[in-house]
Amino acid sequence: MIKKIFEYLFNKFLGKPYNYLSFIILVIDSVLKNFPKGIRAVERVILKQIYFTGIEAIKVSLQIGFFMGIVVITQITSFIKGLGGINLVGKIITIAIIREVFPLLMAVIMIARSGTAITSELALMKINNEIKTLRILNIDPLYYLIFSRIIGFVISITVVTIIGTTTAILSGSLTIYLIQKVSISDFFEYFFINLNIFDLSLFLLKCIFFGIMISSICSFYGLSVGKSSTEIPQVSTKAVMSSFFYVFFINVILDFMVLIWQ
Amino acid sequence: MAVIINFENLRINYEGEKLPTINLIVNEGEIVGIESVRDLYDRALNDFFACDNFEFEGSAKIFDINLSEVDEISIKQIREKISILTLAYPLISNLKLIENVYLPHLFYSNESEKKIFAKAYKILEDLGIENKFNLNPAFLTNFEKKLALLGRTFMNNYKIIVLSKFFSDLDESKKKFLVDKIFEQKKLNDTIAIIIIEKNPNLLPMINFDKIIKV
Repeated sequence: MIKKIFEYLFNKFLGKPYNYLSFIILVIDSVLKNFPKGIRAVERVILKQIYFTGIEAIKVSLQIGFFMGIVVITQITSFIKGLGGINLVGKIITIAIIREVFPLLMAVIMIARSGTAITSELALMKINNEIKTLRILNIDPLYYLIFSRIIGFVISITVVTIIGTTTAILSGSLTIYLIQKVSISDFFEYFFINLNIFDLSLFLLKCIFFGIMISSICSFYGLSVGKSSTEIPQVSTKAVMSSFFYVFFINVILDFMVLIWQ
Repeated sequence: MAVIINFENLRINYEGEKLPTINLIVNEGEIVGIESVRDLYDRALNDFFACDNFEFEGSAKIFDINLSEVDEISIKQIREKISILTLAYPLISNLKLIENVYLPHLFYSNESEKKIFAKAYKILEDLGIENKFNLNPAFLTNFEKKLALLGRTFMNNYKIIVLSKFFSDLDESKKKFLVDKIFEQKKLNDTIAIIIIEKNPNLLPMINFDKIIKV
């Protein structure tokens, strides 16, 4: 009875993370076995992934960065100005925009935009026997398809998040200059005084972890499809929900680690 | 001539079914027909030759490698020398035709990309589909897909070519075109063994089989 309860609890709470972890370990193992063989072919997949996930998402990241910057920075500045502590604006914007809102927001956009694409593409490839074809051609699919997607995704999400965040800060600074009459030079002075290497490291760390998690979870679900194409939307939904959960979970873990560190 | 395939009392288990017993010896350079009466048997044989299924009884050796004792390295060694041409192992849909042709070569050879591209393009020219080199497989007919699979095989030096239901659904002129191209390649290297799996290999009168077995 106790064993069954433990088994239930293990499957309920640790089953999936254990599977993702095993999957990531398998990918690392395939890289260790194959690298640098076939690196030219892998590079092409990485570049394609960067194009679809990174370059094609720049427009969305600029738009969202622009509007979110106006809303978030204007609200924060107006609130802080009301309290009479305009010099705190830099610190709060660093925490809100750089450390919290933008990495998470971009991760959510990436899950919806590119995570689902990865899942459905891989699922379709598996149903069409293309994964098997690669194996038969002596090309390790975990190395050629998954490792390259993870690398491409991490690079893309980092670049897109940097672009989105920079746009938000620029649009926010311009808006508070026009509405609140806070000069742009003052804004950037407050901002850069409070921005430190620690915040930037956490920002980058979040981008990298989110990228690894989203791409590996979505790939895992893509490859978990059976033989029917009706399973593709099902695995895509599961991939999205799991990615959301683990992105928020990692965010909390990293924030706690920072609090302990500080 | 060296024996490259030796199946003795082989019974493949596939999708919960046992195939009839197979006894087959293939020597270097031979042309062998396998008459397969069911689609399931084709799939089972494809996966077996591709080292993707090791559930069997009896004895099976490919290039002196005993399939009951294979490890990852020997599977790779077998796959390096055997090419299975069937639409069941399709072209990669997100790659262009020419990329499909040179992908394995790009993966394993040290030649420059320019040379690899030129070699693949030359093969496509020989096969008459060079004008479609930049298209994805979705835009190709089944015959063109088969030519592309053939092109991918010609890019590498395989010792065994397995053609599984490769000639079915084609008219006589297309069948002849494919056979001519395969035998042109065989002329260049007469040690290549060819295994043809068809419902009725006798419907390919242009091929002189060394032996035909029935499954």
